[in-house]
Amino acid sequence: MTVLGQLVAELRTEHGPIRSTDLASRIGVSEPALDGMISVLTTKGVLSAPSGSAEGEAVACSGVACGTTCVGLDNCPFIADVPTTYTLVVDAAIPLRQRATG
Amino acid sequence: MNSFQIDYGAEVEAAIDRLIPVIAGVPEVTERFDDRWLAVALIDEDPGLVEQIEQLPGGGGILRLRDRLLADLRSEIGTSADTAIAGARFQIVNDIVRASTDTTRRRKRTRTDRIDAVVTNRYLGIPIFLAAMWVVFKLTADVAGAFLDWIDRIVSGPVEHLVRSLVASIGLGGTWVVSLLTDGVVAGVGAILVFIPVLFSLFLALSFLEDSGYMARAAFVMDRVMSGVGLQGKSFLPMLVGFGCTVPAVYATRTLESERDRILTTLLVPFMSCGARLPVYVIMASVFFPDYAGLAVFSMYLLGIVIAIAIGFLLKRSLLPVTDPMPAIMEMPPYRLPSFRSIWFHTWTRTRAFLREAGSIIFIATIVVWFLMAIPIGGSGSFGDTDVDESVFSAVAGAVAPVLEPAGFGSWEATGSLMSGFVAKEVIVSTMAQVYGAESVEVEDDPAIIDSVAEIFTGFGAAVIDAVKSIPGIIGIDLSDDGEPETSSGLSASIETGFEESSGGHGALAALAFMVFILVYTPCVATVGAIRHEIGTRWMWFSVIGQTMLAWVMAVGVFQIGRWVGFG
Repeated sequence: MTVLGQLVAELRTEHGPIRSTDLASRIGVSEPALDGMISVLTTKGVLSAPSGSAEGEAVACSGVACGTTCVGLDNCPFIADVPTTYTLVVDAAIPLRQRATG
Repeated sequence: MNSFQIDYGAEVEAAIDRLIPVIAGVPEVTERFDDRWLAVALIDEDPGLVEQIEQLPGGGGILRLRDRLLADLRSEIGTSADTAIAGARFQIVNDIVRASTDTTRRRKRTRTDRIDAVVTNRYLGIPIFLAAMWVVFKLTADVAGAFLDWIDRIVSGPVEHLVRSLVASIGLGGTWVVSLLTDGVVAGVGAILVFIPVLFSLFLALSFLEDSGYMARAAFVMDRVMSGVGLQGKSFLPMLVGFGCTVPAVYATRTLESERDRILTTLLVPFMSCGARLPVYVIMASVFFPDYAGLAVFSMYLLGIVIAIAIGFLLKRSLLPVTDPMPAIMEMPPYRLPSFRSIWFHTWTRTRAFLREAGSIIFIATIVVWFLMAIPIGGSGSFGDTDVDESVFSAVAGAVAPVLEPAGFGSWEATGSLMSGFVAKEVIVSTMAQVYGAESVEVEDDPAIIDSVAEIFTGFGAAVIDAVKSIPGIIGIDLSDDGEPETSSGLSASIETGFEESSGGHGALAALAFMVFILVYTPCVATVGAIRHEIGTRWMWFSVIGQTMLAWVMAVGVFQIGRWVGFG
């Protein structure tokens, strides 16, 4: 199984969120390496586009009927700084049989 | 330098092997690209290459074969070829890193790791989150609460006297305009402004938690709870936004992929106590539970979370059988010492937004309520000079009030306040100030300006001392003056009397039921609009009617069960 396959396999054993630090530790890679893998899996559509922080703000503050206090996306005072979250959106089967041999 | 070739696995390598001879047969291609490199890049679906190859003679044949191979690969390996290639490349990198680094030495644990080991611990995470929220609400209710009386005295003293003087100076003294401005605008909007210190301290504490990085951990910890009862973990993120304002929280549900999850979370978000409900909790808690005001406010926030989880659990197993929680990766920011500038910016922008609302929607609502209270219905009064219990407002609210009698607050005053709360929750406080305040009018002689100014400064000094004394109370140390408990006066006394009368002597219990009702029923019209916009009219009505019915059931339950067990 490739390390990318391990990542998805570990993720599939979870029912809910897992911290990126814990996941990196489980599959034995550094956090920057995990960031790279997450980026690839997001591009390939295996993980959802991140929600939270800037992305969450963009969605949350659409500027439509946002009460009488709406001051627009840049200054919306009620947006909490939530953690960036990637969700497994498909039951992705990263090739488990393949093994790179160099 | 040695070169090496990555093995992409049997199926992908077979596809590459079939593509290479076709590439090799097109000289215009081979003179520009290495055969294997191009084959791998095409299987990897490199978007820039396709356009180049298409324009070369013989390129079309290469791309047609590649498309067939990609389709075959997807069915053979169960995923896209580019994902398989990425997996193989990451594996090579990982193998090289492992072979060239010393992995026997454990990575040094950072300060963030050590703190996270405690605050996101499976067993300690929730108690720590609750403790943090406890401190926040003790700060808002007890420490900041010390400034309430000070601002109240300024609004009902110098400000009201100034307004009276200004109106008199333009020749309108003694007319209904005086009542409109003092009993309506000053009493209503002023009642909201009194809570600025409370909201400021709430926003200050939340900003500190956000900027320090703790709020992200709180979201993670609560996500685990949500997942534990079968809800999508990401559902708590919009709910976290809901502690500030429900409207953006409703829009934040768009981050959920499944439509059913979005509907479910949208229905749950209004149970989070937004900032607008805080003044109502504080005024009721300070009147009826003065020694436990922080606990009472904290309980409302906690109850909101519990109700949301319980309703989510029920809906998931009935109307909205959503899928099991999807696995998710959460990236935690490192802990950091918040900067004063950042905290001030967040706190001020949120407080300013609240002030803006006080100057717009609450201002209009107070005028509407005043007019309804000024129009006589029956009785012998005239416009602007009628007993409030003979006004249109009391007649309309009084017609609905019997419905709330089983909850202990079936008076026209409480009912009217709740009805106005559909506009916005802050309006409940301004309406209470108008309806209860009108019944406790205390005519005072205008003090000299110098006395008013002196009172502002001495009152501020006393408030600061009270606030400092209440800080140790957060950890249970009581430094407040011993002696006779303070007696309620003015508006507080009027509210207390009103609830005692409507509940048959169980005022505290009725107040608790009233707070629960405010927690559960529809937050405001802006939220209703947002819900309709996001999940449609049918679910909007489900939310409005369902929440109102649930609010009634819970309020009646609190009052009746509390009375049965002898509480209050």
